Amino acid sequence: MDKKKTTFKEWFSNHKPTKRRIIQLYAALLTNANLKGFSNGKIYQGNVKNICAPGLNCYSCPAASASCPLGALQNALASSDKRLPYYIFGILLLFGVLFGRWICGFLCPFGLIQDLLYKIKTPKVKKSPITRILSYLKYIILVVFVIAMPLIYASQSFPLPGFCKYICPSGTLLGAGGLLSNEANSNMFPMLGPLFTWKFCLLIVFLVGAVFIFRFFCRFFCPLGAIYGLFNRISFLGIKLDKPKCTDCGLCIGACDMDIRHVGDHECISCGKCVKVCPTGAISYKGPKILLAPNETGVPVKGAKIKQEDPTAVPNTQVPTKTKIARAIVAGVMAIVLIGALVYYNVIDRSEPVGSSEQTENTAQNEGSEIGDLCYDYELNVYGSDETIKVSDYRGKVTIVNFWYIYCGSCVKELQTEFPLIKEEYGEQVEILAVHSYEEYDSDIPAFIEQTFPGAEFTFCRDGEGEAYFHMLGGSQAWPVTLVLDEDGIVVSSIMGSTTYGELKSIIDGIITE
Amino acid sequence: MLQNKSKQIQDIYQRILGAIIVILGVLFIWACLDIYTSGPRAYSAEAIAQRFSRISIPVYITIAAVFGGIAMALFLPSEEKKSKSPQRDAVVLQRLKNKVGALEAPEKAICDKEIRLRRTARIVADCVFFGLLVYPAVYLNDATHFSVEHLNADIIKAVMITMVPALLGLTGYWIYHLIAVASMRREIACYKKALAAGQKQQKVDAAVNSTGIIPVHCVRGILLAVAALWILLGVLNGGAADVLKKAIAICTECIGLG
Repeated sequence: MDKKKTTFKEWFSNHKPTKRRIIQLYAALLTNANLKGFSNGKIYQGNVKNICAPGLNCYSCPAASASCPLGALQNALASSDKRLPYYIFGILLLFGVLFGRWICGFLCPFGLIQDLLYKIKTPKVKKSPITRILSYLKYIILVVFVIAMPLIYASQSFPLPGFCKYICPSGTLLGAGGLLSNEANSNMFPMLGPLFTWKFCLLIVFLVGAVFIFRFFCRFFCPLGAIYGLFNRISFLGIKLDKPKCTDCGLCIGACDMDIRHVGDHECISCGKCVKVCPTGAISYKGPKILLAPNETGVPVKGAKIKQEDPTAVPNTQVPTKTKIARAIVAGVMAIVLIGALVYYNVIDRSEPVGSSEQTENTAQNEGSEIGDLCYDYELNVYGSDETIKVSDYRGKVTIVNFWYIYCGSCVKELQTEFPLIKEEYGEQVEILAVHSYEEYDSDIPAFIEQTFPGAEFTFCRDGEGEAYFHMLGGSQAWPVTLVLDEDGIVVSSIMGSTTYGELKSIIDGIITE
Repeated sequence: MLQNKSKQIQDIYQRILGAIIVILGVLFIWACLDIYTSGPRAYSAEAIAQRFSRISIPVYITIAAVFGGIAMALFLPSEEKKSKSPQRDAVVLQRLKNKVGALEAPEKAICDKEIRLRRTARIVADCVFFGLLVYPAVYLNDATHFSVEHLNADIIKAVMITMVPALLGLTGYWIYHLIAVASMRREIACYKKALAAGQKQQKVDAAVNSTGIIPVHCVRGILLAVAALWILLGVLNGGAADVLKKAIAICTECIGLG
């Protein structure tokens, strides 16, 4: 009886998504605009992936339209023996100076996921001096996994993106989840093993943690936030404090869910909660007022008291007409960009993955890559010579055809450690063909082979057009893949993912004893 | 009364939902470990469907509970959460400093002593933290500790050697925090005494911001120029192409394959 019945308009006004949420959704959709990737089970392979999205978004996600800066940084450091990683350093510096950790609060898709999970109504773990201290863990992860590991193994020409491989939840959730949920990638399941088990368990911990602890991953584990946080003080966008107006009431720190010591420090993700609660209007957003005006959320600016006397009072927003028009224009441009991106990625862009379905028309009958098939006989160019070979040239021997890729750590590892043992064991009885795809990146391969596999008794071949890759692998985009053929060229085993000496030995022994 | 009752119901509901979510997380981890331990190359679409279908009922219960919580939050009256100024000692101390301004003896001597104590404790905590990281840094710097043949074992060892001292070092900061809190409370007592004695309030100097504007813009400009230069150098030396090379292939390690 006391309470006035809330109208739908008031109810909607209290529960509608905030501008920050809308921007987060927009950024998540723009970063994952290649929606057709979910339906065809393939990742986007266009040139736009030269560009890095600012937030944490695995580029192995089928919908990812741009690269992940953290993954690109680790790969650049892993290749630092070949060239200095200026490009990615420049990108990170640019994002840092322009946005700082505003990216975390507004543009990061994984941050959005955590924000949504935190909304689930459960008891929450509040911040404390312990969480403040634990927030420095992400810097240690940055140094050890993102910087040290790739650099250490770069000296052995072994690409190891430490954080991506052992920790990143975005890869597991968006990459693995996105790819494996498509039937077209069912051949990838045998590749799952201890690494996937570890990463899946870690993902569950992060997701459950995010329900109880605000931005659990961002606060304690995210090295990208650690990098951007270093620029928070000087970035163009973010939160700023007008010190003469500040009365040190501490309401801002009380309202903030992050482990800040001061407004706008390296932990601040510019969510704006402090802007709402500041009674004197000392806190505002840096940068242009187009998207969010300071204190627009309803707390009166002049003559404000710490206790809001009348919560139903109409807030003194007073947004100027010019700003309203500018905002409308910006919103229109953003909408056009998003629609344009969706149309481009899903309709216009024809960057089909290597080995598209049109090539199946020329498949010879009974030739393929399934067990029992006669292995597809394709011509391969040998690196370091003009020689061209065919798989059928090795009939009479057990043939191992291994498909690898220069940036695939698992591929490099098994070529360095497992296949030499096989060659040592069986000698001339077994022939190993190591086939590398993607001719357009050919220039690095001969030097890489010489440096990484010195004295290897394999035949390193180039699969120039990717056709062997398609026919023999069934169009998969994942490496490594190993086919074991008997003396008649019949596929005896098709191994997706890494293999071991023991596994190959048991297969080869089975062929030889027959 | 109705609002109190509503709050009680919501509290109980939230605790139950929290417990359900933790249990569901454990069930997911258990299902994954169950598949992994069932044999080599045990993962398959069928195995995953079979194991996870066993926990489908808890999943449905959780989803229903989450939606129930959302409905409750939307339609039941709830207490508006008011922001509280934390009674953190640093915040209280700063406020008192602004009110009191310059101290007179003997409070000034006590406060100076407390400031020196905190500074010393901080230096010790920093030295302990960075000192503990010397060995891990040396260990990581030695490439002979890392081989491709024993990749996972080497990585685990390196992580343990780094994380254990780092966590111990962070514990040192926790000890510093305890010392600092005690010291600040003693300093607060001095300021309160001074305030009670009626010392004059000193005006806070304004315009600290304005003197910082020019240097900040300079720093931004320089960094942006450096960023542009590095991007250009990266495009010229093939670094940009490297990003593309990697991005157009599935990173099997990143998604847990291989």
